[in-house]
Amino acid sequence: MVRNRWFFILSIFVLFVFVSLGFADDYTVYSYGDVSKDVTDISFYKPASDTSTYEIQGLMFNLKKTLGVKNIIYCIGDGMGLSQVALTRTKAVGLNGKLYMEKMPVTGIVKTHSANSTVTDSAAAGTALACGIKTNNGTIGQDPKGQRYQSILEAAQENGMKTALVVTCTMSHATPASFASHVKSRGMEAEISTQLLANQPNVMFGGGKKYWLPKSVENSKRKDDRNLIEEAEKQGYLVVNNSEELSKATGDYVLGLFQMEALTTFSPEPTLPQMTEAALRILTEKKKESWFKDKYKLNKKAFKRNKGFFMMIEGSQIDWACHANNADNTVKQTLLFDQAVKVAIDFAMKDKNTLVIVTADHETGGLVVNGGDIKGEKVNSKWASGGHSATPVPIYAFGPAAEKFSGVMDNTEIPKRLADLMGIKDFPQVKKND
Amino acid sequence: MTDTKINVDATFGAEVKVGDIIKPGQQLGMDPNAGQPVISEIKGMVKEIIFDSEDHQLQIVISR
Repeated sequence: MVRNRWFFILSIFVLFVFVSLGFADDYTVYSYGDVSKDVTDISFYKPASDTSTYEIQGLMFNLKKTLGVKNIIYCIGDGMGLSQVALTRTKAVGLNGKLYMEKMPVTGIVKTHSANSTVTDSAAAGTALACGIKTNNGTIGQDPKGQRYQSILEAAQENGMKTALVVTCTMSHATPASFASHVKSRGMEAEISTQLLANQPNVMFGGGKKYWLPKSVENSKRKDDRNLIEEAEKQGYLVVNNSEELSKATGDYVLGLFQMEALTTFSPEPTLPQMTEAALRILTEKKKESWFKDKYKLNKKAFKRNKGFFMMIEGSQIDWACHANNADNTVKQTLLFDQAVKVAIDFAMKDKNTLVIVTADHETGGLVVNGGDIKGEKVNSKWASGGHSATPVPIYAFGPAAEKFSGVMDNTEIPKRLADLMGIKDFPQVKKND
Repeated sequence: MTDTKINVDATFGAEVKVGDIIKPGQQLGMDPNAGQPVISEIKGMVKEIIFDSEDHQLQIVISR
């Protein structure tokens, strides 16, 4: 009996060392590489060296019920259904491998219909994921009658949290727009940009300068003389324009619009994981300063100010690749998104108070993976259409309270559960200043 | 040969595919704004379908 007990203790110790070493290795072996012009080149993707560590680390979080949720990283793969994940996984890490998002320990299924359609668009789905309400296709941040609802980002701001939006589309595209604007039509991108600036998220990274610059500027899509980028600078935003400036960016408010149009997702523009990493650095900068002040100057007010952050990251162009029925670009865009997810998970593993959610707004293309060789080197796929489908999408969760995101749920449930974890009462609720 | 470009809502996709012969009265997709079916008024062949990410629409190019 005694020998068995020692054997058991030794086994636990060996398992612990194995997990710790595996975790360290998984965390450090990572680089972005270059994204070439060729969408078939996915060499930038660095799979994990160990397939089990994230699951075990994630389960350990779930066992420690005492850990609270301080920060939330909400990752949305636009158009990313299970088939997009399966196609990407098979191409990148083989039939038996796993993407980073697939290593998150809690999984669920999300229904996506809108208020007026079985098949949602990104505006109605974004509104559901941001505001917790159903609305008609094309509508942003308000119900079908035009009543505006507070988004989870706006609720987090009201709660004293820092906020960030990081995307590869125009900053004013349907998904990011749903988190910080309220308009009747997703096409109103100039107005959405105006509202985004007025809402003042701490970090905004993406494309779409043409909606921020005055009509006098070539290729501007504004009909007025407002220069929202100059206005942002006057409001205290640091404006960054390229990867180098992004890597050095610091301060409470940072705006990075890296293209007139949507991002190209080609080098030398910053990649989604690079923007995610920069946003995390900026959002947590004050935290370190507060800790320093608190420790050395006993500045308790500074400590109180640190109420965590809410960040939304979107792999915007998975949807676009699927609309074009382009399997290679679907894989590339999903891998770029997965690399950003890895950045989020790595942060959460170190921080221990960060919940990471990965989901999608809808599936695009009616993609089916219908064959290939058993080694996973060749994958066959078919598209049912160039539109969206009503197929439910996956949700993956990692971190404290991740278990609240298992099972089958409506997309409106996700921000409600996030609000509950952030201690926000009465969500969803009508926007107060209306 | 002249090309006619007709836009439909990308959410619902196109009801036709490249190479299809289109007849007048045939549904091509859904209107991006009105939510009504887009009906072809012309006869021709679908030469190309292009996704416009900015407006989230599919542009159906019909040759006739």
